[in-house]
Amino acid sequence: MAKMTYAEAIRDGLRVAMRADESVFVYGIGVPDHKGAFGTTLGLEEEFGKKRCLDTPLAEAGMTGFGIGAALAGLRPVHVHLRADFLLLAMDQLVNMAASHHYVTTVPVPYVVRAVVGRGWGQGCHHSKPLGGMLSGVPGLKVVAPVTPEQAKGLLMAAVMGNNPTVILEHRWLYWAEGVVPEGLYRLPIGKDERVRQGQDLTVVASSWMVVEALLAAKVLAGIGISVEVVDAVTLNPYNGDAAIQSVKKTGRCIVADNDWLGGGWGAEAAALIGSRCFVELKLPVVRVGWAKAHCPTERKLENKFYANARDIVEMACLMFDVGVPVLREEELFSHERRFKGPF
Amino acid sequence: MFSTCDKAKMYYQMVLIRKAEQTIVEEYERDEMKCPMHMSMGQEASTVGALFPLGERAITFSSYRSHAAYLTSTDDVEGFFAELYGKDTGPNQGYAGSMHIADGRHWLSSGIVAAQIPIAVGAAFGFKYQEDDRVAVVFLGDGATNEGGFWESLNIATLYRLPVLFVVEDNLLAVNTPPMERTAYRVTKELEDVYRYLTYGQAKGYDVLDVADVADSVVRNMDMYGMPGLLKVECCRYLEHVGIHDDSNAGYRWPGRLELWKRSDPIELLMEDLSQDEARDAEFAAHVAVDNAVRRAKAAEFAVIDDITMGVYARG
Repeated sequence: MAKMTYAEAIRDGLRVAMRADESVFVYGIGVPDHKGAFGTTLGLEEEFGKKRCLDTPLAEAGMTGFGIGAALAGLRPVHVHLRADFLLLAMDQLVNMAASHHYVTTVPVPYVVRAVVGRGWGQGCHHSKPLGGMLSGVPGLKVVAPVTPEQAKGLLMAAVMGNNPTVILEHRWLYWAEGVVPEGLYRLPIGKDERVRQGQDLTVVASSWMVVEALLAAKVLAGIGISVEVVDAVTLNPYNGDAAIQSVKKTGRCIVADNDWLGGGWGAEAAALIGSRCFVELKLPVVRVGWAKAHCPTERKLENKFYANARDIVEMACLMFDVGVPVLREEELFSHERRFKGPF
Repeated sequence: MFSTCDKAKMYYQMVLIRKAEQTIVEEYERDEMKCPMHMSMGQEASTVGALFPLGERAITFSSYRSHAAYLTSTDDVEGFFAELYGKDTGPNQGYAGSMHIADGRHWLSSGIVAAQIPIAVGAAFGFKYQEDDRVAVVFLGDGATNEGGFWESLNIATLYRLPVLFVVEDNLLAVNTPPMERTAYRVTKELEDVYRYLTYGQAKGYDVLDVADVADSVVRNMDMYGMPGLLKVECCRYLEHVGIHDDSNAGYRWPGRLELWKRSDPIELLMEDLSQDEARDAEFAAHVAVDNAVRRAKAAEFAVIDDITMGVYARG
């Protein structure tokens, strides 16, 4: 076990996978440059050479097809996008080609995408989308959203050593999160959600960055006597919600907090699933918090209105328990916003 | 140049495609093959000629116009018809049909114009990475060169110097439109000057020996200099974009062009180079292969699948 940041855990996972298997290679725009995809690919070119750590043309769609073809030829490509929004250029290859290939031909496509989700300091409407919502409904694709450094390494290694096209959504603000990470080869199961905080009165089922907000909200709510259980979705596709369902059967109340638009997507899927599976136990309908059905504005004050955060979860919980909203200190709730200074 | 044996082989491969598609035309109205068909008829020489110099080194990729590439690459006539009839005995058990059929050395048929191109380039990267001598051969129409995926792929392949042969089958039609209404450039030898590493060849699609000859020199350059190749073959699609009908009266083709091409039909042209016996042997073999394949495909069962989501994800 070693203490490291989320970014270091990703780099560690890549390095271990590349040492273990000659067929693993990493590529993407800027991957071998001096910034090394926010530090996650630093040193890989030095250790494994240009052949296995390569920069690419500005061609997201073409380089996605490229990854699929390389996978068909027996390699295990890891394709890095510095923002998930850029994946929209590659949607044809990802959805039409990668996702369906095994189903139609029985030939697997072990192609892994790492896509960074931006937020804050002016990321605006083209550098902030997570795309989890759009991709979570596509059969054949796996979509994971690691929150802790341990998950960042374990899910990445599971994806790289697995046999399915997998999109890993890495929230930019998690890159400096620290945690204890097992050394060497380490895999976590894809498709399994996880209870990350124990409570009795209310379950918050959250994805990606909203897990952090949910834990913060749980702390605030504990102060007014509401005991909150938090379940991290971990995998958005395929999603079975086992831990979430088990939790809601116990608490009888559920908020789904998605790090994405409220329209459609994983949050809607999770709410529908929990609503039907826990119908008898639910004391109130499942409710949701998520991003406004708008595009992410650039300026900070506008952006704060656009995103959901711990405050929305606290307010929603207070409404559910019919109690007054406690005094919320801005500096505590928005500490992360102040930390990220960009530019990228 | 080419031995009699080579010519007889190419003749067989072309007749096999022609016979298979003629049989589809005859059988299609029975409504037992229930999938859209994009026919290769008339373009047999471009596929057969392009693949001939590479032999088993070729791994093929095509669009939905898959028949010629699949049959030439795999020689699997039984699997081909079983798949068109949607039967369990097809290589893809009816999940693929004509537009997505893939097996053996034919790795992919794409229903999306140009989507197969970067995938072939990635496979070529895999071959180079693993230091084997396979070559990715990707078939595309002139219409597909309108797509960004084609130009992105050319850049990627030439930048990384990958063993991929782009075969542009230029039938001067993109779906139902003459090229001048869609395309404001020409794919020419000048691309060799534009791209740092690219070898270009251009062949007459009615003459399989010319296609094979040009393909051979392109492949030699690819091997010698470690670069991708582009082979443009001018050819003529005899039938409509999708379906089994002659659409020469639809008004989008250049008047008289179809008749002109049919007068220099690739199969008839090569037949002149063979003895009567050689030609008959090849025709007989192709007819027997197709007839048997159709009979067996009709008799075969449909796949019984309890769980339609089975196989959405690969194990592991």
